[in-house]
Amino acid sequence: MELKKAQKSFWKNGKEIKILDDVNISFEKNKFYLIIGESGAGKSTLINILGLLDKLDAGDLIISSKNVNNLNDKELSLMRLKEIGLIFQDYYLNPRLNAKDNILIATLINKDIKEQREELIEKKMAYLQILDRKNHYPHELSGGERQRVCIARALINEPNYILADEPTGALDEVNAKKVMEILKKLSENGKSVIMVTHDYRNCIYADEIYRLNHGKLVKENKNDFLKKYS
Amino acid sequence: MIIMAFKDLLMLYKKNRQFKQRQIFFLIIMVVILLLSSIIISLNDSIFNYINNLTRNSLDARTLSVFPAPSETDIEKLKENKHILSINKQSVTSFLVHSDKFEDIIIRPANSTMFNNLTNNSLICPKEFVPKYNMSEITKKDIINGKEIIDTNIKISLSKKANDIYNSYEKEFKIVDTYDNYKYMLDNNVCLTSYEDFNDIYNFYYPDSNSETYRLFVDDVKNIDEVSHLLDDFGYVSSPLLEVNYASIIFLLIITIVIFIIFTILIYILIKFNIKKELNKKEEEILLYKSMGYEKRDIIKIYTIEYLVLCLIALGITYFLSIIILIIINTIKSNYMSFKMFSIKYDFKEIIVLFVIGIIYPSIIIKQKIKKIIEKRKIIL
Ligand SMILES: Nc1ncnc2c1ncn2[C@@H]1O[C@H](COP(=O)(O)OP(=O)(O)OP(=O)(O)O)[C@@H](O)[C@H]1O
Ligand SMILES: [Mg+2]
Repeated sequence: MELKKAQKSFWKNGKEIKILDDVNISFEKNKFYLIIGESGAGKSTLINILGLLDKLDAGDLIISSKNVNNLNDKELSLMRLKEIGLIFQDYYLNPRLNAKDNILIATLINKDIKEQREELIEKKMAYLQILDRKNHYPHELSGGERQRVCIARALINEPNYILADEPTGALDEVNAKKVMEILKKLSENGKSVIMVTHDYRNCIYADEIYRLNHGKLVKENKNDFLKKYS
Repeated sequence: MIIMAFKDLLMLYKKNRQFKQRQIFFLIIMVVILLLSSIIISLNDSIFNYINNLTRNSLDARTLSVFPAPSETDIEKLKENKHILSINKQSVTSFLVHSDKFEDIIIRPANSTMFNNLTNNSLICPKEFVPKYNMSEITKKDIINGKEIIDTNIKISLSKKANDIYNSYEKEFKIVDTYDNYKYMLDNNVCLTSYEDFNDIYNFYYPDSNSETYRLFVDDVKNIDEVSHLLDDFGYVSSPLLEVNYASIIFLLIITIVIFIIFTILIYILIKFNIKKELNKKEEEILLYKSMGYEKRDIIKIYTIEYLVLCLIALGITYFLSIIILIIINTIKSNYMSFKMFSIKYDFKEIIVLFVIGIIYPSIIIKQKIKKIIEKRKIIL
């Protein structure tokens, strides 16, 4: 996944807010990227762009050697299904569906796993230690469990890229640690994990750290960061 | 390609469906809208029917009285006109007679356009037969089912006083058929005979009639003017028995159509407002489907099913309610014969309009709204 000369800005009260200003970056597999930024820096916007929910003003986004600008609606949908898994701070679980069905909805459009989807869901839930919660509705789950349901939903179609927007933002320390360890493990098992956060404490898990500020994405030295914030 | 299987769509609907306050509110709104629509359509329909009867079928509106009496040669010439169906020497179009089995009946000659092979000594009576002179105060129990008296023989009688002597006329008739008197804008006590039978009565009543008035029967109301002009050219004065006021009819028609159009637009806006409000609350959910890789049409299907089920329930409820309302209206109506000219019923046309309002409108609105939400792109802020 690669951004080339990426430009993105919003206009607010006649003033331009630059989110991405000539950004070039490549996200590799087997790596955990952490993007740090203040509130309003454009972290969520970046995740929306990488998750194919928002578009660049200029420049290119290349995923699996396909330029996203050249894809039609159908191809974009297929790419969202196959390549991208999104994890949100607020989980976005459907309150009318139980944990298992919340994961199931992500599989209904995936023909490739039609036969074994039930089995795959149970496996994923077991891996994330929420299998005993499969018949519970979101309001019956703890924050940590809800986030793990959200992660299971993001992973169920085996995407190559996991995009996480402040996934620990609503969690206590114990649950936050659990989530970070899960993401770390995913990055070690072939996925490319891209997480945006304003919380410096998450740095220890990252392979590469970037700072998003005034439209620029600047690489930070991990060791300096660890010294500063541990 | 990533198309959702229909089975999965249904499964998702079953798991996802809700029947709480919001859905019930939507259901009630839809029922109210559909009921209002069906009432408006029925009324519109009745008005159209009434106007149609008045302008196309009304016997009196098609009859011209001609003065002075046309000469034999003129009559022959006039009869060549294709719009003129008959010319008869008559100053009256109907007689009030008594009958042995019923009370009073009004006898009129049936026109050949209505019933062609009406033989002598036969009568055709209304489907809802009320053999009374005074029609203003009749109730439902006065109505005789015309079908039940077919093949009945009745003796009619008519008397007249001349030179202080009462003469009476008597004749046997057989009721051979029934007709829809509302369609011809005739009262429920009017029975039709052949011209020969009618003239027989006429000649009894006016034996040495040198009546100057002739009755001329035109094929269609819209040709009345043309025939009138023709009579003008021949030097006769003519006027229809029933003057149709076209200006007010056109006005009525325009009003009806305008009301119907305004109503349809209002209903569209009302449904749109409701569905929009509902879908706005589900914006996150809709965008989540998008982020997972659902195609636009899959998302549209998911929400269309959700609302169409409610709309179908609303249609069902409306159907039953309108049948009940119809029964009530018809019961009340049948006690007031003057309303009989307005037929209020529930036919195929109404079902189609209700289908459009209850199914097509919501589907279009859902499609538009989901497209709009999906174009928004954003899910997280
Ligand atoms: N659709 C939009 N139209 C206009 N401005 C927008 C839009 N989306 C975001 N913005 C603005 O862009 C800036 C970046 O927003 P974004 O949500 O990406 O920030 P963030 O880094 O995720 O902040 P936070 O840490 O608070 O979540 C903000 O100033 C926001 O108001
Ligand atoms: Mg954000």
